[in-house]
Amino acid sequence: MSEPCSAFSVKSADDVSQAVREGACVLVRGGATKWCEPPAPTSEWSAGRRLAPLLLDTRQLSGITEYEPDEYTFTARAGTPLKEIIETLGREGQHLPFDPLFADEGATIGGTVATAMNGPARLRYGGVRDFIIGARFVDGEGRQLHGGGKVVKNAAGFDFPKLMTGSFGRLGVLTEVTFKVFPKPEARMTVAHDAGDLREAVDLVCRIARGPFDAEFIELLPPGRVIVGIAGHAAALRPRHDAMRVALGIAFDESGIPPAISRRSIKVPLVPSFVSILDAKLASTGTVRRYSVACNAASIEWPQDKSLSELDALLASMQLGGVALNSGRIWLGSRTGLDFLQRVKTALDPQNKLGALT
Amino acid sequence: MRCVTFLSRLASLIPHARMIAGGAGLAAYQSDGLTAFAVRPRAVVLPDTADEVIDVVRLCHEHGVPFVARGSGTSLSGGSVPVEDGIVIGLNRMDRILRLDPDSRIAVVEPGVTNLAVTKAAAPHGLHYAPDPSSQQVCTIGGNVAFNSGGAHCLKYGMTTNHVLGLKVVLADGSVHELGGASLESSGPDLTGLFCGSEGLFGIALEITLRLLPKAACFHTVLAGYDTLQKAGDTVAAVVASGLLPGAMEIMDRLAMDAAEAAVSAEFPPGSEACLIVELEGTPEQVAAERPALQKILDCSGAIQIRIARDAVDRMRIWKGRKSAFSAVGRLSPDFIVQDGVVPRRALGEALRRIGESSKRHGLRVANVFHAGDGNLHPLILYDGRIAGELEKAEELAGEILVMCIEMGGSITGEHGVGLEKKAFLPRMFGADDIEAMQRVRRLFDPKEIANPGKMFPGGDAPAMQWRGLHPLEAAGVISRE
Ligand SMILES: Cc1cc2nc3c(=O)[nH]c(=O)nc-3n(C[C@H](O)[C@H](O)[C@H](O)COP(=O)(O)OP(=O)(O)OC[C@H]3O[C@@H](n4cnc5c(N)ncnc54)[C@H](O)[C@@H]3O)c2cc1C
Repeated sequence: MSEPCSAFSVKSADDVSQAVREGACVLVRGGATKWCEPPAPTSEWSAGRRLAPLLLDTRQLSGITEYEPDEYTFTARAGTPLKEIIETLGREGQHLPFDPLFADEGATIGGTVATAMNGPARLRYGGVRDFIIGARFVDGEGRQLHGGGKVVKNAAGFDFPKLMTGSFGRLGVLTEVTFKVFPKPEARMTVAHDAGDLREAVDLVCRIARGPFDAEFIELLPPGRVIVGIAGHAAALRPRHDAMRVALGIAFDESGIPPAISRRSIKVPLVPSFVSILDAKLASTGTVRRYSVACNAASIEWPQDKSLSELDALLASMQLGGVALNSGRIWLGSRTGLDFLQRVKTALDPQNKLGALT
Repeated sequence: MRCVTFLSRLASLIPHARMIAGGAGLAAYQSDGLTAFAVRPRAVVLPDTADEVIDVVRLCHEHGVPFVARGSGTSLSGGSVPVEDGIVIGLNRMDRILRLDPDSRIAVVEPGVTNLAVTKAAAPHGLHYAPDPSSQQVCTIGGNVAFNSGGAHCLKYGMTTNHVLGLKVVLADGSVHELGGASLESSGPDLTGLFCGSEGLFGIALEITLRLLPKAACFHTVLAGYDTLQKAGDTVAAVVASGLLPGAMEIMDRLAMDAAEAAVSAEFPPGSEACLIVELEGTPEQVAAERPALQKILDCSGAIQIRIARDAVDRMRIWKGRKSAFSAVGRLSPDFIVQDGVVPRRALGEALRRIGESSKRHGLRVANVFHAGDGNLHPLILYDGRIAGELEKAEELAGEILVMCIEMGGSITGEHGVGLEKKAFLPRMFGADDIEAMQRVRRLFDPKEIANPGKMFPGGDAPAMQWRGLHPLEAAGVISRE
């Protein structure tokens, strides 16, 4: 994809403020692993203005600024590579328990928050939204704001850090984030079962998710493959697996880890009862499908030769929404709370400098 | 004139039997769990349906009349205290569980459903609703959402906001919105997360979609006694640092233990100044594997006694002792204020020591019973409101503790909310620009500032604190503070 516009490397929150104040339209890019903007400036970006949008590159706004292993929290600048964070935490036996995506490809922590992209293990303890506890960001007027704090529990003020989660830079440019982290399990075990058809598989996913097995993730690869991860004390994994097998009355094979989520994937939040219906509609289109987080998200790869508007309409007809990565547009299908969101946008970005919500 | 038109129009929306517009009936609504504040509302309405709530909110918006949503009125920060000249919208009657889907592991509830009712409804499916404030028998999900309430099990599972997936809300301008949904995943900015903890300043939650979790199969509950409070605090830091992830870690000091022991026999370690309750939970195999690691930490922690719950009954006895502590402490003193500041967990020991010093300096007793695993303090400041100047002294001590929490890099509130009580302290945590941004967001939902005005943000008229005694439910022994 070609560069949409001139890129400007920011090194501090002040740089971001200045860019937002001076720019007509500002887009943010971290590691570009989930780059979602149109390839060229469109009328949408410059909405009534002549100036081309300014692209802020956050990769120099980097570094872990605070990490207290004993406190299980860290603060990092938005452009810090996930890889650096994962390695730093890993040295202390800690981790972000939602399998942050695309670390090896260069994803940053800011982009992870802005896109709210979680991996399969978000099932057990929660996703980005559940682990972010503080955020600093620059709003559409160039003001440097912060919300939340640095302690794991905090009910003071409106929860701006959560609001920034999934906002794709439209409500503010993240400059620094604070997370709580968890101890990293000593060992993991991944097992799989072929349930035959999709219905049986969805049913199995639900039984595992409802049971007292502490599954870290449950993924479904159509038509019927269910992959389950358990994690914890090494010595306990085998007996835990055996107990689960007995309780469910099925056999598991010890397959490897589930395939990585593709950078071209589109996330469609749903509930288990929608899986069969959606899958039937997608199967005929040649879409690669996978049902993640105990059937709470479809992760699909729409054929490149098909137009996204077709998927958009399909999702809308089922009252499902979607988030697309690296596809030239972000939100697909039906969207809840748009009027509510528009008001938040007016409060934080009244001049619509940070890109449209469409 | 305006008043008459408003009230008569209100009366046309809500049947006579569910509206209180004068007389003694209003008195029951003038305070919440922080009884030192009291304001008599102009009227109280008790809607039965979401449509009634929407109609009432629209009428309030049209007339510019302030309203305060109210669940069970157990707020400890003055959050549900009425507003002068405003009305109270009491939501207790809207207590239906609309849907419970064990496969999706969700419950869709009306705002007046109590916290415990959700867990009770989920239990037959092997599920539970994780946030467990000690007021859970009476407090409502609507109130929990507004305050992002916590409980003893936040360490592992987070607060209310981590368990709310979707909301249907009416904003203060009468518009109705759906936020989030029924899925664990979502698309777009986290609007549900923004609404949680907004303390009733945006509008009213009409329907809440909650996430349910499987019940743990196994528990291992340990009670350890220490000769100083600081050692108990330091042990919490050691457990956190060790990489164990207990379901709960709670501390009680001597005063709290003595009071609780008198109320229920929990067999607290005799002769100790503080005790720590640590609970491991999970699959039996995982818990068995974690037990030795916990034991090792406790053995090196200078504990003078370590007691392991023998069975489920014994475990319940320990928790009962813990949960009854505050009401029991309440019996030691005519009045008390409970604070809920948060400090980094490594600073727990130091924070407790400083609270002890402040207590001595002010000549007021302070009991501590709190969510240690999260660094969430709950110092209970005992005073006698009938003695001139004691309430003021207690307030001063409470303020000192809040300032200490901020200085240590913590927060003024972990779960009770800012409300009326702590609004003067908000600017110590956030800059003027931050607060102005929050206000801008709020004004776009509530242009006339009629939804719970005068709360959370500094300034504006606020009723003065006055001594008034225990919350009626507390006095009756129905609920206790944690
Ligand atoms: C004895 C005792 C023990 C407690 N223990 C704990 C504890 O362990 N952990 C904890 O976190 N808290 C605790 N609390 C505090 C309190 O119970 C919680 O804050 C609870 O969530 C309040 O629920 P409620 O139904 O009583 O709400 P209310 O007090 O009626 O209202 C609280 C706030 O919510 C708003 N509100 C109510 N319903 C709605 C709605 N539907 N939509 C929008 N706003 C609404 C109100 O306007 C108000 O601002 C305790 C309180 C007491 C008295």
